[in-house]
Amino acid sequence: MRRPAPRHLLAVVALLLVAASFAPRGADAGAGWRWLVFADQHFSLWFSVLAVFAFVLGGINLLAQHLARVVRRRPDWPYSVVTVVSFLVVLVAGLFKLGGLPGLQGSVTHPDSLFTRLFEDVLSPLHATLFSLLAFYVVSASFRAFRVRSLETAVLMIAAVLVLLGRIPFAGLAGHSVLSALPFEDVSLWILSVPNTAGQRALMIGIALGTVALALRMILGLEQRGDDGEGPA
Amino acid sequence: MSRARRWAAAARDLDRRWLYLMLLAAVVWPLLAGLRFHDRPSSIVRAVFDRVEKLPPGRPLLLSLDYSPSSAPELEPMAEALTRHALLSGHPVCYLSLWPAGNNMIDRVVDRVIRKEFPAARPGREYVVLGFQEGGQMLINSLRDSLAARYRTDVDGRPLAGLPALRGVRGVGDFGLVISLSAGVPGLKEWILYAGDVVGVPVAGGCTGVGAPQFFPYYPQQLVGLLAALKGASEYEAALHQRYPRRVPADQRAGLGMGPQTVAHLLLVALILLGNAAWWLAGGRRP
Repeated sequence: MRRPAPRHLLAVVALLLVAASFAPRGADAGAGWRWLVFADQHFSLWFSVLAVFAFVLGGINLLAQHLARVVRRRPDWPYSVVTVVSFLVVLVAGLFKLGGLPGLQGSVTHPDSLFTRLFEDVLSPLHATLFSLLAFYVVSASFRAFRVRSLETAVLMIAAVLVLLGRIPFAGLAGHSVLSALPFEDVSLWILSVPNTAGQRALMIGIALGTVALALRMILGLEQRGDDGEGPA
Repeated sequence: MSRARRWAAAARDLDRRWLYLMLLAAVVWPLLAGLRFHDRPSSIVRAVFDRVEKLPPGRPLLLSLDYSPSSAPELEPMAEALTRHALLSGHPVCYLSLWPAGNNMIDRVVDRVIRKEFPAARPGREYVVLGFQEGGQMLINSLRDSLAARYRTDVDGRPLAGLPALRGVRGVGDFGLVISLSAGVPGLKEWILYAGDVVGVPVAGGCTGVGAPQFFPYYPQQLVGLLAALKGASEYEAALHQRYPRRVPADQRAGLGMGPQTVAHLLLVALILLGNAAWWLAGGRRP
């Protein structure tokens, strides 16, 4: 077995975290349980510390990749210039709290800060624009691609139409007593609560069982993918 | 080929730019005409509203804004309505976020609702902003037993110990209700699995339209209630207006958005039906 130490470490930490999920909490828990909860808390903290380092590594990697594209004039390199400049401007604005209150406790989101202005005046409209374009694709797909070709697609279409109608507030149409009496909201809620829930639970239980099986293989050292980049022995 | 069939074939092969134009009209017309639809709360939304109403006076609630600007049109009206409700009913609100854009999203809600509508509310007394920290479900794990494990101060540097808004709160389990407004991972599902199921704190949530189906399996045992998409926010606003008619106007942010959404939904239904009718009449496949 190659590199046994990381695998043993993984097994110990994983078993501790699993055990901590079943540990009683509160003042009346025994000393052993409290130690387990303490370990659980600190592993979570370490995870977050590692995640912060991943941010830094991610930033360095992004810069390295895109600067290399620019220097070597690879296809679409001007987009990489935009990426690098945007990254550096936002990083400097956030790190140095430009325009806002300085110091460690000065908030990055101060209303006058450059970071907030970039967020409100650049990032937010860009996000909103990109996301709203989805509506145009949905409209096109609803007309051109949503075809009833079989019994399954017929069921899918009827369910989709009923759920869509259920999201319309017919009850608010004052003076339209017939429309407001239609039970679309109840039917939509039933579709989501019963058939959808049954399907979702089946998927979730299947995924959970698969995850447990994979976790057990990793804890027992049977799963080698992920620690050395190679497949199972 | 008969005339009807030729028409059907022409409709089936309609240029998609006409469809885009129809959608544009369906969204712009209700906005210009000021179309309003007054909603009524469904049972799953009413459950969240009633839980907030029944909290003991002064019991704080935790509001986790787990989204970025792309989902703000759906989720921000929920955050505003929930903040309004909490302050009207005397419950301090503690904000945090599992998403990097969270601090700005929290600041927008505080600015639009608390600073404008509740000018007497003070940070640390009526609300606390803890802000974003990296970690997702591991952050929730850390907070289960003690907020101080990850947050010693709020975003403005006030020590959490001694803040009136967090009186009696040690860990996540001490909040009256945890509400996650979630646009993906990490979000509501992580709050249910890593906070609600472990320490027993009641968890409610709001989500985007596409995310709603995945949360129904948790309702009502593990999830108090769910505000699904703009309609969920609009229903919550309706419940709020019914309860506080003098403080909360009938037309609020989500309600105003329901006009364009309703017409767009009707257009979608019509296009699905028309597209299929044209396809069948034209003989199925493209000639």
